[in-house]
Order: sequence, then structure tokens, then C-alpha cells
Amino acid sequence: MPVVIEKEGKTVSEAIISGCEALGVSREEVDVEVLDEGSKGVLGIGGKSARVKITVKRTEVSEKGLRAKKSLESILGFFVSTYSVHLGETSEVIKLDIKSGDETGLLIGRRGETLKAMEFIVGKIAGRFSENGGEKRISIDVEGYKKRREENIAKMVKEVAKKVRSSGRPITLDSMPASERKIAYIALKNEDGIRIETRGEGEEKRITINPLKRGGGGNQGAAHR
Amino acid sequence: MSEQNKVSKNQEVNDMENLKELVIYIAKSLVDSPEKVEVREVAGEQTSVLELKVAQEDLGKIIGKQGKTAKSIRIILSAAAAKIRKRAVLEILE
Repeated sequence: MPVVIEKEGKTVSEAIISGCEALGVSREEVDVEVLDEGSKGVLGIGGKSARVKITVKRTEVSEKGLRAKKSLESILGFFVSTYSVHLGETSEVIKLDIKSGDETGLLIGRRGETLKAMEFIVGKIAGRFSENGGEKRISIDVEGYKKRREENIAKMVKEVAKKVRSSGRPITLDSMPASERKIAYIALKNEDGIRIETRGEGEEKRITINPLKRGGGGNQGAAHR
Repeated sequence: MSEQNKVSKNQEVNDMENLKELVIYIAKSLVDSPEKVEVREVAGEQTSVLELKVAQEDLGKIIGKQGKTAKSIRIILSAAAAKIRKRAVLEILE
């Protein structure tokens, strides 16, 4: 369902401009239907304001998505010199991809913490008043960082699983945030011969990969694959 | 020479002003009473402290569950400050 709003203004074009600003989109991204041309009246008396109906062309984007994009752009505007934000949505996720040549590292932060902080704040801001799209999760990426990180985590846990199977000994991974643990679980879903266990609280949650066949003799474990 | 100094000094004021505006923007977007959001800068040699004041009822929205919102604002502020080679600390006044 597309995002639609109605807006009033002194003139039709003023109403269109303020509507686009409120939605955080440009004129080319919307269809406009004039509901009331408005009239100037005589000497400013008896005038009627113009009214327009603005429909966002991209039907897959939600109000929450547009709001999220706008607030992320506002935040970046305070300290990043050049950037662009691309909004993409699925039925579950609002994805915001930042392109920013020189400042990529700054926006990622240590172990992705700046990215995560922006995701959290933008989620809070966008989620406040949006009825449309409110259930969608927000995911912010910079120059494909998250995607690469996800691929690395999947690769890493699969290698650990292999090691556990062949040695027959459990291995506990470093603590990972919830989003990364989820990637690990998915990557390990189809791995045979292991059992996953999660221990610890909050930020300190760690995944342990256990072998189904215990034993010191590595060969035995491997033989039963 | 003195003209040049003046320019760079102004630049610095603008930079700190930007950090302040960043905190104001985020705070105003999160609270119910944006008109009560105030940020005061206490400038230091290396580190500047930004004191954020919001309406009593909005304090929870700024701090968040287990301080997660406040922590996120601090992380974004640090990144923005690093960009201008400064250190800025956010202090939330109760």
C-alpha cells in the first residue's frame, strides 16, 4: 500500500513542497492530485488554501521507511560531508544503505558500534509515529560492511563446526551481539554432527559448538560423520 | 595573519556548534516535549561537555532501557567529534 498524505498550502506548489518535505522525498518521487486549487481572495481576505493529495510512487516503501531515511540523513548531515542514503524495503526489513567515500570507517565504528547506534536511534525516531510499516525492523549498512561481516561470520562458524566434528571437543566462540548470533545460528542450521548451546547474559552471550560424539580421539568423531 | 586565525577560529565554533545541533536534533526527535530540550556546551581544553536537559517526563525516553538510548547517542556523538578531532562527552542532567 503506497504512502499517501494530504497537505494544505497558500498555493498548490507550496502545498506540494511542504508535503514532499514532510515525507522526505523529492517531487519526482511522488504523484500529485490537486484537491483544491485555492484562491487568493481580495486583499488577502476571503482566501482559500490549496489542498493536494500526495502519493509516493514506490509502493513498497512505508511511512516508517521514509521517516527512517530522513532522520538518518539529518544525523549524517551534522558531521559527514558527502553521503547518500538508499532506502529499500521488504515485508520485514527497512534497509538503509549509506554511500560515503571517505567516512566509511568513521560511520562503522569499533566492531560496528557506530552503525549499530545509528540503527537504534533511527529505529526509535522512525518508529514513534509511524503506523504504516511500524512492524518492520531497521537495518543500516555502510558500503556493504554488514554484508561482508555476515559472510565472514557464516564462514567462520562453519570452519569451527568442522573443527569440533573432527576433534570431538566443544569450542566456545567470542561473545557476539544478537544480530550476529542469529547469522551464526542460520549458518549452522544444516551442519551435521554438532549441537549448539548459548550461555551468558546480555552483551556477554557466547555460542558453544558441541560435538554430538564426544571423545578425545579426533579420528573417531570424524569417522562417524 | 590575524585574518587567517580569525577564520580558523570561526570554523572551530561552527564545528562544536554542529555537535550541539546533532544532540539537539536527536533529543528533540525522541521526546514528547521538544520545546523543553536544551543543550549547553561547557568547553574544555581537550574535551567539551555537552549538558543535555529535557523535561522530567522525557528523561526515560532519552536514557532508554538499560541506558541503551543514551549510550547510542554518546556513540554517535563520539564519531561526530572524532571527525573534527575533538572529544565530546554527553552529560544528561536530571
